[in-house]
Amino acid sequence: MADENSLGAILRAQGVSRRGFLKFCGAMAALMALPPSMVPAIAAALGKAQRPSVIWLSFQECTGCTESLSRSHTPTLEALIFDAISLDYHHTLQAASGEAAEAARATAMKQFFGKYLLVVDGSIPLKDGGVYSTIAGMSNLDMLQEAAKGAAAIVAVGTCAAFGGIPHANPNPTGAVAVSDIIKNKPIINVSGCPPIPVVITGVLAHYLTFGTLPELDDLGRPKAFYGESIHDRCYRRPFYDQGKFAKTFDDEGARNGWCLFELGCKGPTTFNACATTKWNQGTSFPIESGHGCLGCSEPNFWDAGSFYQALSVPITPLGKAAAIAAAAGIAGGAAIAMHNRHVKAGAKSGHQTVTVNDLEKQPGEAR
Amino acid sequence: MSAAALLHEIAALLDSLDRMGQGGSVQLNGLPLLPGDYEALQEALGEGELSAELQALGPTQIRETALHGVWWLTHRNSAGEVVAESIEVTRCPDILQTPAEDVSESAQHLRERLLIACETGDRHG
Repeated sequence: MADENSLGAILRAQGVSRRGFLKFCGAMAALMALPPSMVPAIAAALGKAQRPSVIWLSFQECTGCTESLSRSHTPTLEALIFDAISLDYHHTLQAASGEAAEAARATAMKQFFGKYLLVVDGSIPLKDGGVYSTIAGMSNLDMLQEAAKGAAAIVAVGTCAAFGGIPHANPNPTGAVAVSDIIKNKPIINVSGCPPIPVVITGVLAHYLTFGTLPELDDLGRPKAFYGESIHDRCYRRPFYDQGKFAKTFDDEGARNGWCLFELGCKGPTTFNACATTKWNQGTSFPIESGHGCLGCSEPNFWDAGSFYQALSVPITPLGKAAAIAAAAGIAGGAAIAMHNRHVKAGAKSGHQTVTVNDLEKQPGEAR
Repeated sequence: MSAAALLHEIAALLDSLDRMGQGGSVQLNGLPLLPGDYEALQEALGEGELSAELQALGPTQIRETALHGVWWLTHRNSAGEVVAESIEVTRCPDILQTPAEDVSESAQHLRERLLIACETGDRHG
């Protein structure tokens, strides 16, 4: 039988049957967006995996990310993952406090040096020596640098830790920065979102638990399994966008018919996250399904990207010209429009131009 | 994504199960189904003659649909919330079968109980 410290043994000791374990692995496969055919491999890997030490550091944050994760009054399968890991330090959740807590952190860091997983939420303020956020008299900057030394990998949970978030927004009075702005020599996974979807956080931990490696990341360091597609690409209201059916105001007839929220400021086309498929509150709904446009909260600088209620701005070059170039290169008009949408936010910051959705619709005579 | 597209996928898996003995499964929770698609799929597949409930980390419902070989699995946690849902095309879903190691363990367990009963003179085991 696998050794006592393995995940399999821990679950069996908690009274989880083999079928229960298989159910757990099936849910894990779903969390990691892996096909069901991988369940036997996951079961084999998890059965032998060692219980990793996890140190969670909360810096300049609102605690929303921890709340997103733990806001569950009854046990869920995702909560089991947290039982399965050895959460050696989490100053908000743990029972110990004060010197005992800091001692526990120091002990875990020493005992598992080079092997523990470091999870960070909140941004790190740099201004005035980092005095704007301290724990036990130690600046966040110093604590991060010290903890990063012995970490196997760092998971930056939430847009604050991943990109600076709200403290980083104009005028950034505390000099807040992301984890990746400070730590350059360790693998970092950015799990962005304000907050991130809980299963995305646990999915990343599950991946690390199962395979002992980092999942495939996009160019912003986010796991492709959850951030590989835009909200727009998976939105169930996409047929209305394609047909040009838009809500003009909240609660008009279009809104009540569930039409596209593009004109009401939805940032779905330029936002990458799992909200449209995985959804929130155990798959209940997500902002667009509830009638409000996407805020783009998993993207860098989303607080400074222009109004949440203004449609995505016009690009720097007029659509007609760019589409003609694209068509000449053999790309369908639809792709040209999509390409434009991806450059829209960069244009918004410098251009500050308003637009109507007609500017982004296809021109007469353009190939589809 | 619509119910019709899913039915085509299930048909392909059934063909594969029939000809090569290899089915497959479709995860329902990741799909961007339009409102009504889920119910349309349930109606299209119908309810079969066999239904089972597993109690492990919460209830899991395992039902064969009116189409033999097409099973609908709903995994819930102990609060009754759906944590995973899938359609499996197979002769018997993996989770329904008794794991081999469980069989070895029960065999050993029952032998031990009978041995103890024998020793203590208890005829009922």
